[in-house]
This record gives sequence, structure tokens and C-alpha cells, in this order.
Amino acid sequence: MAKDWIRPMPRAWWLTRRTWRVFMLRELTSAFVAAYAAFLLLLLLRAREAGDPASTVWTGFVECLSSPWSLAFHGAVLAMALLHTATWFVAAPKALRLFRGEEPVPERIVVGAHFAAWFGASLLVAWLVLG
Amino acid sequence: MESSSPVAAAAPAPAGAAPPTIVLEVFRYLPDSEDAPRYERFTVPYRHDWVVLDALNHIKDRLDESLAFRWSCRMGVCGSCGMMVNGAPVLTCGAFLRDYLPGPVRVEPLTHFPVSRDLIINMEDFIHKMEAARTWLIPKEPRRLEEGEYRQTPAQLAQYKQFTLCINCMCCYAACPVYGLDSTFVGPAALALGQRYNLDSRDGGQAERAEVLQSDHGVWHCTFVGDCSRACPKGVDPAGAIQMGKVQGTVEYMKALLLPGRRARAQG
Amino acid sequence: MARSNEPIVWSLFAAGGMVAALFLPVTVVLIGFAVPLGWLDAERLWEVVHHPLGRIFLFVLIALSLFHAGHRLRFTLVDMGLRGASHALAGLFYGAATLGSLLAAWLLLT
Repeated sequence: MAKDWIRPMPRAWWLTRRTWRVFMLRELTSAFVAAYAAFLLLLLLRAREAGDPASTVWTGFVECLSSPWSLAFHGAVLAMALLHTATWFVAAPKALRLFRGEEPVPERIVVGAHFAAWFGASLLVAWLVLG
Repeated sequence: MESSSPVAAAAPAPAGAAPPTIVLEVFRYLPDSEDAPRYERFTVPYRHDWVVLDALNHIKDRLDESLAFRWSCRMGVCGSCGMMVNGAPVLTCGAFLRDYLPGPVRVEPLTHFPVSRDLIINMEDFIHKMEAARTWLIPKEPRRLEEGEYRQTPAQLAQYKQFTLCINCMCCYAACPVYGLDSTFVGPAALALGQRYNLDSRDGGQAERAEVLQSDHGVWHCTFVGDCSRACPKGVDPAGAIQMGKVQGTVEYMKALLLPGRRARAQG
Repeated sequence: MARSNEPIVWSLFAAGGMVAALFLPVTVVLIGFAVPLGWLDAERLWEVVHHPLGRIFLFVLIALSLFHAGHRLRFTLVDMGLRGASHALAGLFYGAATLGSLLAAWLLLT
């Protein structure tokens, strides 16, 4: 009996197709999400350490936010966070299929509603913090 | 068949820069006489209205009758002629040579499956996955013939209709890296068809199917690459069906967790 | 085959993905860019972080982001070739997310 030929996937399989590279980039946004959660924990640790807004521990930390290192870190996190937001919303109608009678609600309506909610929520948070 | 027409080779090139011939690099595996696969180059006439399958038939008729590949309907409904063309899983009866100019066009068997010979894959695993996912109607209530048909409204039909368009061509399995990495994954088509029956108002097999669909090898193995839906030649959205399966499975799981005894009843 | 317990971690992943998608960009902009631009000073940032709404917001954002990222990284590493270490990765990432969430709860709620 003739033997079947097995073609194993290469180790770096995800580099071999464009859609797989995009997929891996999407998945790697999560590393930046985790990094920012860790940064927020650091911010809260500094706040606890300071105990008072006038403490140099706190004002020093806030000053560090203007350093080139902080700007580069926040720039990278923002880019990946926006990529996460966009890919998450574009994928949303896959899990959330809505019908109006016999007609499926078009995917772009579901995606658009998510972006509108994102825009509103962002404005609300910015207004509450800065307003 | 166009491929056996005597005018094929002599046909004048159509207007524009169309070449008289095009090269196909075909994956060959002849397990009876050779230990390993190789690529063989064939020069075939280029015609504006030829698809890759026409070129393969030309090779088989005129150049090398030993070339093995599956095909049947030539019109995108039988699902037999799925192959990798330049690395992408497609139905070769719908893949026009004109979209691959100037060539060469690389033709390989659907990836992620064992190769039995040349362009023919072993589809046994796929058949098992379809059986495991119980991709058929399990009636909610048994009815005798004289009780009439199972009735369904257009809105109920709309819930699952797009998933019925699957022709079992396996292009989605060749597109799915998760299946390629670990073939214990039930895979896109079987999960989408399982979901198709779960969404059918006449069906009562959801709990039975969940043993496979909601297992670690079912929807939970999927990382939502989404290439299955991009590869599907019939516009079915298996990735969507799987994500819906995750949402429904989670709702069922939480209900069972919060309301003990419910799961036992659903399964009983 | 047995039904998977994956819905527990997947629902945390999905909730975290939605929270991060909605609120992470604005948070990064406010802390990383509004502060250097002078729109937000150290005292106001202190008030926001200690306001009850701010505390709830940060706890939810941190905890769910960690579970979202942990789940995704687990599967990414499995797909990248660490399939054999699947259980260890699950323990590592969900463990880290749990510890991070407990730390956030301690810092914000006490």
C-alpha cells in the first residue's frame, strides 16, 4: 500500500501568508495591552507610595510622563491600542449576527455602531477627566 | 471539453500582450515509484478563457496521462477540484489563467492534508470531522408521514441559510493554520455545518452536537484567524459561525453554572 | 469528548477585549499625551485616580485587560509552536492576570 505524503507546517508558518502576518500583528497587540495594564499598576503603586499629591514621588512620576522614553512608550501603546480597537470592532459582527425580520443587519452597521460607541465613550471619559 | 479541442494549441493569442503559452509548476507525488514529491514544469497553451483546471486537463490529455487530480462539474458546485494555486486554496475550475499572468503558475494539492498522489489529498480526516459534528438534521420532534412536513418561516430559514451553501471543497481547511498545526481541531466547515443545524428551527440536536462542537477540539480551538471565510469560494462565513458558537456555548455554560440541573435536563 | 471549560476564560478575554477597545486609547492619550501637553496636571491626575469612578474604571480596565492579553498571548504562543506547553502557559498567564487583578484591587479599593 502506497504511503501518504505529509507536509508539516514550517516553524515560522505565520510569516508565509500576508493574512497570517496581519493575524499575528493583531494577536501581538495584546502584549501592549498587558504592558499598559502593568504601567497603570506602576502608576497606582507610585500613588500609594506618595500618599499625597504634593509628594515628590508623585510629582516626579508625573514629570517622567514628559520624558522621551514615556512619549515613545505611549506612542507605541497608542498605535497598538488603536489597531486592537479597529480589529476588535471589525470582528464584532461575526459573533453578533442581528436580523431585522428575514434580512440580516449589514455588517457595516454593526461595525459603525461600535465605532460610534467608542467615539462617544472616549469623549465622555476625556470630558470627565479634563472638563 | 475545451482541452481536447484541436484548435486549442493553435489558437491565436487574443488582443493585448497575452502570451501564446504559460508554464505550470505542478506538484508530483508518485508513491509507487518515487520516495519524495517534486515539481514538474509543463508548458501549456494560454487561452483567455481557460481556468487552471483546463490547463491540468490539457496536461493529462496531451502531455502526461499519469497526472492525477480530482474534478467533476467544472462549474463550482461539486467541490472536487480544490487545490493550492500560487499558495492559495481555490477551486481550480474558477481560477482563470489570466489572473496569474505571466506565470509560472504553481499548482499543489490542498495543504494541511496528507497527499495520496500528485494533486489528490487524503480526505478521510475531513469525513470523520463531518460525522463527529453530526452535520445533518436531528429532528426536534419525530413526525409520522401523515402529520405533514416540518414547517419553517422565511425568517427562520434566514438564520442558517448562508451556511447551507457549503460544498465540502475543503478550501477552508487548507486556509486554516490552526488545523494545519493540529489536526485534532474539528475545523471550519464541520463546525459551520454543525452550527447550521443548531440554528435550524426544526433541529433538536444542539446538546448532542455540543459534545464535539463545544469540546476543546471544537470552537474553542479556533483563534479566529478568519482565513476560512476569505478562502470560501461559496461566500460561506465559517469564522462567523464559530464565533457565534463560542457566544452560544458561553451562554449555555454560564446558565448551567448558575442553574444547576439545567445541563442534565438538556442532555437527558 | 467532554465539553470545554474554556467559556470561563474566553468570556473574560472577550469582556477585556471590548473594554480595552473602548477605553484603552483614551486612557493612553490622557496619561501619555494630555499630561505632557499640560492639559492635565499632577494634582488633577491624583484626584481622578482617587475618585470612586476613577477607581472602578481603572480596576475594570486593568483586570480585564490582563485577562484579555493573557488569553490571547497563551494561544499566540501555542500557535507559534509551544503546543506542548499549553497547560503551563495557561497557568502562567491566567495566574499573572489573577495576581495583577488582586494587586489592582488592593491598590484601588483599600
